[in-house]
Amino acid sequence: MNKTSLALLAVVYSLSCGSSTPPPDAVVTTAPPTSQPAAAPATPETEIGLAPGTAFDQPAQAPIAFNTADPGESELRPRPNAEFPPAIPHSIDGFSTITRTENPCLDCHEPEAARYSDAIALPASHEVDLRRAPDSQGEEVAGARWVCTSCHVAQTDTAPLVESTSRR
Amino acid sequence: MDSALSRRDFIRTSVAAATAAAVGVPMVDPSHAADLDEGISWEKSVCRFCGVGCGVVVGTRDGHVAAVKGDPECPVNRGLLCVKGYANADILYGADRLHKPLLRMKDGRFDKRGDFTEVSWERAFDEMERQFKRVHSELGPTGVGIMGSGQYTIPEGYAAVKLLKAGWRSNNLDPNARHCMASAVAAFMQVYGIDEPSGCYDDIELTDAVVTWGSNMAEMHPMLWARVVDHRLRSPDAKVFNLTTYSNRTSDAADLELVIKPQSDLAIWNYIAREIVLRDAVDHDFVDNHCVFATGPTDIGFGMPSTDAHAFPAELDTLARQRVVTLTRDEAIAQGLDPSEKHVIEQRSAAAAGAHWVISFDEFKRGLEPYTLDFVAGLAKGDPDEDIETFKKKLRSLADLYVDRKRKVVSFWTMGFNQHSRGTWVNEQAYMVHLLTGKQAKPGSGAFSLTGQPSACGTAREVGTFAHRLPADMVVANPSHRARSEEVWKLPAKTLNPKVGSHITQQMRDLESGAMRWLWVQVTNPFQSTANANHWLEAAREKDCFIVVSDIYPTYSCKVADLILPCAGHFEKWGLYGNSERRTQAWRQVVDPPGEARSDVWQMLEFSKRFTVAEVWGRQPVPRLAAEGFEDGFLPDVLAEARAMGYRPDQTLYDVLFATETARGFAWPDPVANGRSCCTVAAGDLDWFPEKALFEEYRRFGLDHAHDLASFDTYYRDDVRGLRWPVIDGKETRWRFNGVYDPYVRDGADFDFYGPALKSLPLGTLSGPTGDEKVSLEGKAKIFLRPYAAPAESPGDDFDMWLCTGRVLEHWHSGSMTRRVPELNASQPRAQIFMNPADAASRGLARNDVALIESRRGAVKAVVETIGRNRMPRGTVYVPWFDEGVPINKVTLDATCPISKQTDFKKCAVRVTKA
Repeated sequence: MNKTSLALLAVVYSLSCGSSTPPPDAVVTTAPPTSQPAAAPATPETEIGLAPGTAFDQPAQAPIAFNTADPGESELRPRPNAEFPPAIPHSIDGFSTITRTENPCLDCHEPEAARYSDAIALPASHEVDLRRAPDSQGEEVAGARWVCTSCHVAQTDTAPLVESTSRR
Repeated sequence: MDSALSRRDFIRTSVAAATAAAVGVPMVDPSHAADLDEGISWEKSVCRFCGVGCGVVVGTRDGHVAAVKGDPECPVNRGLLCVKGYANADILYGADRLHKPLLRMKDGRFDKRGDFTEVSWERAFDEMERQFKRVHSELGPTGVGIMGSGQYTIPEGYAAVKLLKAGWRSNNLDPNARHCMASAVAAFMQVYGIDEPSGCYDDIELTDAVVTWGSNMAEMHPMLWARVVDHRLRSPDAKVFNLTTYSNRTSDAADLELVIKPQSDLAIWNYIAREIVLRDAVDHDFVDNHCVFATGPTDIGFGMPSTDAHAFPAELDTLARQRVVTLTRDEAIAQGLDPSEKHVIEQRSAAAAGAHWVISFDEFKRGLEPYTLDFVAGLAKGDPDEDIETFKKKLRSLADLYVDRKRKVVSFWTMGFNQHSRGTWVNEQAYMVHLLTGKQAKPGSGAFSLTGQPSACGTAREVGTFAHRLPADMVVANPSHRARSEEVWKLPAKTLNPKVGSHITQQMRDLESGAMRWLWVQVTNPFQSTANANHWLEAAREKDCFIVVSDIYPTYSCKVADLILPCAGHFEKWGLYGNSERRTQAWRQVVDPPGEARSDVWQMLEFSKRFTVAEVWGRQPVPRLAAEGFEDGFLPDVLAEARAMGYRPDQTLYDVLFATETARGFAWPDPVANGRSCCTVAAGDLDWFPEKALFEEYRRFGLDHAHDLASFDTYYRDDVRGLRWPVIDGKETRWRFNGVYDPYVRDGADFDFYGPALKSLPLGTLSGPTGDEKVSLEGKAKIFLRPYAAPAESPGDDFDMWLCTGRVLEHWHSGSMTRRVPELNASQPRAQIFMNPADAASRGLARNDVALIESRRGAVKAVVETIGRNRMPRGTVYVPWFDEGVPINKVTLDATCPISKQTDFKKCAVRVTKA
């Protein structure tokens, strides 16, 4: 059975945050079975799934490569498609949480604030109340979108566990 | 000002002041990527993941799912999705999708020690059949079983029920949903006599207060939480309270957070009820007209094995509590006993834990007496660093919400209640408070059980893919329910097995004991998700058993399987799901499955061809079967009656169960397909439409039975975004049991709790029933008195911390789909152990260090997290279970609620050290 090489994975999903350490999470996984005429391909159970070894082994652990970039210090990562929410390219580890009264994301990404910073302004679509007034442009972020981190998630410097065939 | 805020302020000012110095390449506005949408065709569909049931629009291009967006027409989510929802397009495209059946082989033959070898479907089914018949001939119908899913489509679940219960005459079908909401079901049945919520999501926008109990909605039901937050932001007088055992994202946007001790929810509800009575906030008209009071036994054990035969030595002390419990001081007080005495209680009612009887209001009040503010605050305060007076003030504020007659309240809960060794009780206590105050089955008010999985309601519960159930709330133990099912299914009388089968955790125990030796796993990953997993992993590999796993990816369960079958994924097949608010939604297949992957429906239909009627409908042994009209220990031979009904002994289960004349009447091609294909039809080269035939037959069970569903075609209409059952004359029902909204309510009644189950009960006191005579409770809901009880296992000297497990926003369940989406994986690459910084420091651990987490049952390693989304009180750790590299269920305890048989994944005792 073919193995997907780590190098290929790294190229397919290049990381952009300037980390020089190799991705710690890359795991060699089995490639999809292909129809080969000769002897049927066989895979030991140790190569099944996302954690190498048998189910009785205790997988080793290594530190997670957190993204430590401050806002403005990193570039956006490619998205799988145009509908997918852009990932947060910077660290949010030290940020305060999103409460009813405070939203640290909006401090930079709210359109007015974004005019004075290098942050990406949230798009006009985010100021439409799709439940109550889907046809009128609002002037502030819709309440249903208040918790930004439900859709926009931070990223660690971690290579894919398995290559994705959805990107073209 | 704390450091987080000052850091944020620093960033804001520094970024604003230093645009010219910004590092990196120019930013791109992510909203201007519309060109990537070019050439995509869009169609309404349903999200694959949680119980919220968001509507999605799925886009395809060149036979490939290119993107998914929120469906603006769907009332559930109005155009928005969480990050997992947007990943629906990508979950099909991990490079290691299974394309061919894989059988363990050595030297060309099946070998349990062999490697996974590609085989044809024919060869795969040959081995499945051979192994099935070997086990079946030795053990009969109880030797085989299916583990199913709350992610089954409705046709899949229905096919599984019919194949196993009508065909193989076994009841060993149980879904992962047992782990998810069995406690909710048991409470619905005991309180209302019928399953599923009275209210609906519309309550969110109508209420004055949302209280979340053991439900981190912000991460686990994000788009429902978006509605809660949206409503709160526009309603200055509304309140959101969060009761939880640790600070989480739901706490972040709440008005008030109560960090409580595990299991103390039982005491808190009784404190609230006591306040309601003391402050005369009881809605007497509602209670007098529509409710009765009830209670049940307390010596019910913890759903653990009653034998030590397979126990690890370290497990023996916890296991002993299944038989005898010495009450803690708090338990003694809570049960009105003298706390200075020792109370050693034999758990005599473990086998009849669900028994209950009617009590008087005075008895009910007597039961609440011990739950004073002082007692409950001392018992329930979950953060050792919080001042007790502060906590008491919070408890009073919580009671005030429910006591306020003018305030509409919705209580939401999920796994914190359901995964609870007294899960049925604590569900019932929520209804206790809402019924006492008349805040139930009304717009904007209600106790509302949120389910975890996309079709835990629609399939697992409504179709009845449980060891004790039949479709539409019927049960195998009820003779008239069996007769009704035999009529719909055109079976000879007494084909169906009256003995309840093994629930999913018991099926694992059966593998270990050898009572079950052939298992088919469908749409679930039980060897990662079942508590105390070391036992089951060893059973799978070391016992004489044959395990088939059907999945779209090689999962952790596949590692210990003997045969792996490749499945069609979500958008690669036709399906219907039912969400938490009784909304049934449908989607079409929009792309073809890869390689030789096949739908689960096709797999079951095809495998059913391997069994003739004569092989399975003869006399069959069923150990311990004892039911009226049945020979003890046996199912009767029904072949003579089958012949009289026109069945030939050599006909297959495919002929008599699936490809019936009626089913074949649902012709393919079908206009409802709108040009789309059906992989079940294609693989079977059929001229009929199995998914539609199965749904339309299933629907017959619920019509005029308070579970009315619309026709298959209705759900596919362009102008329909799901309908909430019962659907009568094309109209959905938003609030059940309420005369204004529910056509099933008796004419003229304002409320009618018409559920038929468990509505004839004896009278009694808190101590037990006082006679055998039963009273009818027609139309009534029950207000249960349930006491505080200590958990099955609590931290002590050797294992000194509480372990709680659960999900994270980015990953769905065991991560088999979402971990293959690069963005989700990069966000949450591995399960971390969330710890209080002081707990970490005292163990020599810092953030990102590797910790060893040990219990009496097993050990795993994980890296430490001390900041971020979950902030733990000292003494409690949280480890999510999505990561097969951190198989935390090797550590957890398989104690269950003795009534619902649902595992308590939220509490066991662990030790954490530096690895």
